[in-house]
Amino acid sequence: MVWFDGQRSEGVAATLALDANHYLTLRDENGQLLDPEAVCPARLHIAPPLGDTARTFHFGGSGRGESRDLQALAALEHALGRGWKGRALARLESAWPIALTLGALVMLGGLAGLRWGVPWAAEQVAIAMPDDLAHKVGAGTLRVLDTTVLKPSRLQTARKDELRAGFLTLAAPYDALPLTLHFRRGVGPNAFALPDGTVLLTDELVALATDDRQLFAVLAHEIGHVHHRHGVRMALEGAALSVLVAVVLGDATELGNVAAGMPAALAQAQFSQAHEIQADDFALETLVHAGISPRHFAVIMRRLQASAGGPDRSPVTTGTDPEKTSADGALRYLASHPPTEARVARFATWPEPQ
Amino acid sequence: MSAEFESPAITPIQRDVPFVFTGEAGEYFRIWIVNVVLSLLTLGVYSAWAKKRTRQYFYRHTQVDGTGFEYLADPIQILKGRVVLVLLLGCLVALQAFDPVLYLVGVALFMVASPALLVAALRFNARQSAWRNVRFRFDAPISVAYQLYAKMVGLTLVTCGFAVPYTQWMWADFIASNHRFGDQPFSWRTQPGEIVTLYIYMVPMMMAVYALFFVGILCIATLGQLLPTILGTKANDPATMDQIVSMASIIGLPLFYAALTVPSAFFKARMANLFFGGMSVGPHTVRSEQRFAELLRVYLGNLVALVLSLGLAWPWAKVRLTAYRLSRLTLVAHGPLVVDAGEGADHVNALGDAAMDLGELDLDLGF
Repeated sequence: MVWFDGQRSEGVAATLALDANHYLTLRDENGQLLDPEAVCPARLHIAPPLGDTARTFHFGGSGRGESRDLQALAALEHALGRGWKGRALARLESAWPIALTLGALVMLGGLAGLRWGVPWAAEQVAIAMPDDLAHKVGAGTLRVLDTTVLKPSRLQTARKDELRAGFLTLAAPYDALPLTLHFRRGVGPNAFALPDGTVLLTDELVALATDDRQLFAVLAHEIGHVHHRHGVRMALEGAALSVLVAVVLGDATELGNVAAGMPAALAQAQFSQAHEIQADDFALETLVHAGISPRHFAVIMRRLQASAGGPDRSPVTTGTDPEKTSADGALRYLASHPPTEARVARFATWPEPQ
Repeated sequence: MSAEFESPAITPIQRDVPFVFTGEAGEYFRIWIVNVVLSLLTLGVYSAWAKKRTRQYFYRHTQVDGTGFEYLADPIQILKGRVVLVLLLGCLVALQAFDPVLYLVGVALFMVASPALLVAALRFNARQSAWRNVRFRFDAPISVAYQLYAKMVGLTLVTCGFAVPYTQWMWADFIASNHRFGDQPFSWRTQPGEIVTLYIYMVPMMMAVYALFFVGILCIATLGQLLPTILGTKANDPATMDQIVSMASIIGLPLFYAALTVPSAFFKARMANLFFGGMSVGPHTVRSEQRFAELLRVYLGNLVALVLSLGLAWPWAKVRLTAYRLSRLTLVAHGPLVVDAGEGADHVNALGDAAMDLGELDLDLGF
């Protein structure tokens, strides 16, 4: 082993010995004592083992020894009756069967945590959150949308009132929610729900519908987003994802790995699709309760898909616009909405009341 | 044969001392997976110890003249910094959701504090790094960091970003020339022009990759228009369009990411050579000889391995990259490698260190 006194970057060959009386001595090759303090084992501190790297030790002073004789150091620790934690950790780190098992568990656990853990935790927090706080999230969003992409509606007041009345009937069972309906245009046929209970309907969607009940079906879906607090949950899930990515990937960019963002995008899309399905469930129930056939939902969704002329890949700005039709094929995993046909099947086959 | 012409009495004035990396992917994988599992089980508390062990692993396996480096940080200190940082970031995330105005104020405060945090991190890191029981140090006062930061921001704004190569030089110079090893100051002789030249080569490469990407998209779009006619299916059939777009995305996106690695490898290899190769420690100089093609091969291999293993190849990738970089690094010793420790300790703070670790602050110089 080598002893470095801490004054200069120059080592001397040395020997550390423990005598029968449990006193330590640290001597150089000529038998000279190197550190008079290095007597009492209680002052000896040995860095825990790490792979097969050299271990260092010191006696609380500026000097530091370094040894590659790992067996001798382990024997010394053993004789002194300590260092068991470090040795246990090193044993854990040296066994391939343990490492491979842990690797498999982490992989499965990570996937399960993403699939169920994060959405579950986000839902619990969103539910536990006080109502007014939850509805405050993203309260400024409408203002931002109005100044950027949305334009005032051109619908006549009578038409708006007609739709609003229907909306209020739908919303009646959920009077705890601060639901309001607003009309805009400029982003194609679409509808959004904002976390504060604002539901937006575009003139283009109104024009696309052949029956007002189709619009009410879409609105029921939007109320579902508000009811389940999908806005808050998206924000929480997004935050959890970015923390996870930061922690797990850490210095991923250092490895020249530009694709580090891909898994996060994939997970975010899956969360979003789960919300859509939940809002669909809600819509189905609400429509049946209100006496509107769920088939209207299937009709308007198909009209939307046809009007989009195929998959719509424009970026999702508010997170909860369900009327985007979605791509099939492998790309569907990256889409914010599940494939339209899969979504509307149960609505389309709903038995017609006699 | 030639030995008789050499004079044995004269010791060489300078000698090459290579950096030797002895770490192994398998050994590091086992340490890494235990780190990950214990960090998860302790809800992140163990991550401070994990960091110490990871650093220590790479430090000890990096050897100069037969002795490895040592990372001395106390995990408790790393943990304290982490707790503070997580609380601060947690507040920011909460504000982002509930009060956008206060959030912006918070972000602004964070930006104002960042030079101080960066200097604190540099000090902490240097102070906890040692070779042959002599520590490194980072000595720049915080006020200097603020002046530099103001200049960098000002120059970037005034020139609409065109001064970035120069501000990057300023920052690299600040870091490189304010370190010490024991009583030996570092100095840096890389000229701003060298970094500007590097950008002049790199930017067109980057633009070429993006141009290729857009040409690719155009080709696919055209193909999408023509294909229905060729196949005799209905024009604008959504299902066919979907298939084309899906296939193109699945093949095209990874190709695009892989292609971006090309300018990145070029830039990072050259930048590392300029950064380390321009350094002196006291009388000794450093040589860095990373090659673009070699680094690119390392990057692409890592990318493929990480994707195929769903991330489990991380330790292998990290060891491989470190081994390559260090295999290209040489210390050119002018005289004996004996250095005095210099005067005592200065105040260090783990907070800045934790900040870098969470990736919130970026110290990356691009190598």
